[in-house]
Amino acid sequence: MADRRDETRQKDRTSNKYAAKKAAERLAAERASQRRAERRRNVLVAGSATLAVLIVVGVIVAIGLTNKSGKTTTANPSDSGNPVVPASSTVVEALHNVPATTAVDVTEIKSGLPKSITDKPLTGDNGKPQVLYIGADYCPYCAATRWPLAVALGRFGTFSDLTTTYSSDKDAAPHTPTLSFHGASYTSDYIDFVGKEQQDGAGNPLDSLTKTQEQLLSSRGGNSYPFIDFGGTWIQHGSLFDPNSLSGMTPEQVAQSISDTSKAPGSTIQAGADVYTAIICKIDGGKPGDVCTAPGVKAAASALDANK
Amino acid sequence: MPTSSAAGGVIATPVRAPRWASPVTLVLTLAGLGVAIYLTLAHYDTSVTLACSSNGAINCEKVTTSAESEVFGIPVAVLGLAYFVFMLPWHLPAAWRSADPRIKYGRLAYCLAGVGFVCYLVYAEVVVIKAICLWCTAVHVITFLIFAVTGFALALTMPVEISDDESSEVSAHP
Repeated sequence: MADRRDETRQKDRTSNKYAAKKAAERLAAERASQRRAERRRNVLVAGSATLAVLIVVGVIVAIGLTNKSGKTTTANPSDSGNPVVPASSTVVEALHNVPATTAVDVTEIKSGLPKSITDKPLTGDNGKPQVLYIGADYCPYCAATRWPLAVALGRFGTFSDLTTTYSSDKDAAPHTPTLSFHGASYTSDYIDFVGKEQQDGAGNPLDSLTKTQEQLLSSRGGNSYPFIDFGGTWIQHGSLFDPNSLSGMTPEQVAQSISDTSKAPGSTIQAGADVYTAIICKIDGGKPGDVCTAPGVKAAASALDANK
Repeated sequence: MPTSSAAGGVIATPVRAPRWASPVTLVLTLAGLGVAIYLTLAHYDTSVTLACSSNGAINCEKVTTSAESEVFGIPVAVLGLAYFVFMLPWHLPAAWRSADPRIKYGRLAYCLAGVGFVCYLVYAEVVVIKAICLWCTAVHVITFLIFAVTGFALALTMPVEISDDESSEVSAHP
């Protein structure tokens, strides 16, 4: 009797073990199936994310190519012009740190020195002598002129919110790297500076002129860009140097070249800057002394006097 | 994260990433680091010139000296260098073996941030500057590959499974 009970118990145990084993196998199979499904889903998500990135990059490249082809096929300069972007720290620093330690070679300036005039003094609201610049973003000669002017002004004060751009791709000396004075501000203890860009890179109206400025542009500037009036005593028509000398460069490269006076365009920009600095020294009473007595500025002043 | 099964089937312990994940991402990171060092040197040392065309659509100089070559006053080359330096620890074998979700998803988020920035840089090159820097493109491709490899490796990462018997043996030891 006892033997039979033991036998039954043994059979039950074996049967239970078998059932448990089967259940465990079923569970393991279900889990394996779940894992495979989860893995498939994860791989799908990873693949989709990778594809999404490729699509985004593809769209960006397509936009770039569309813009490029649009520009080359436009006969009339009705495009939006070259982009105007905030000046990088490389440009801003380069413009504010150019000492006039070497004597200027005015032969670098091929388009002629500024002319002395006898007319009503031009002053700012604060009574300081004013330097008035009028140009346009598309204008290649303005593009070349802004560099020495900004370097000279950087010796007397500080610019903020300067931007960089290129002259029109459809004009003479196309795509000349430059600054734009539109939207920039300038502070100085010695002079007042007004920079007006009358038109943007595509020739659309930008800065408007006051009546006085319109009259000055007409009477002293001959209605052409660029025009610079230094306190009503000196005026600059046209560019000091050939904008083609900046061809193929970026604004940053031009800025970096300024410190190298051994070759163009650095030597040309410095020569122009020293000439403009000498003129500003003449209209502001020779301040600050360290700028106005620098060898380069003194040499430029002599050249200006000889050219009067 | 380790989980136990009440049904007594399995216990999940540290994750097992694909074996190729760490070496592949490490090699890519080191390659990116090398190019980033080169670009940083070229940015600060004017005597180092990038071996690249400087005319037409391929113009490394135009790109690396553009206004877009700096972000918040920090050169992009330096940002790239920092990115790859901090990328290294994420891809060490120990990091790939870790089951910590902060490492798993932190690594993915870091790679995603890199790819996002790459999209901006591609936009800057193609749309704004209208020139391509080949060395920068190499960095962009490497960043993208690291992101893709990391994403797929994460998708294939599975928990290491140990049977109850093994786990009870392990837990029996002090």
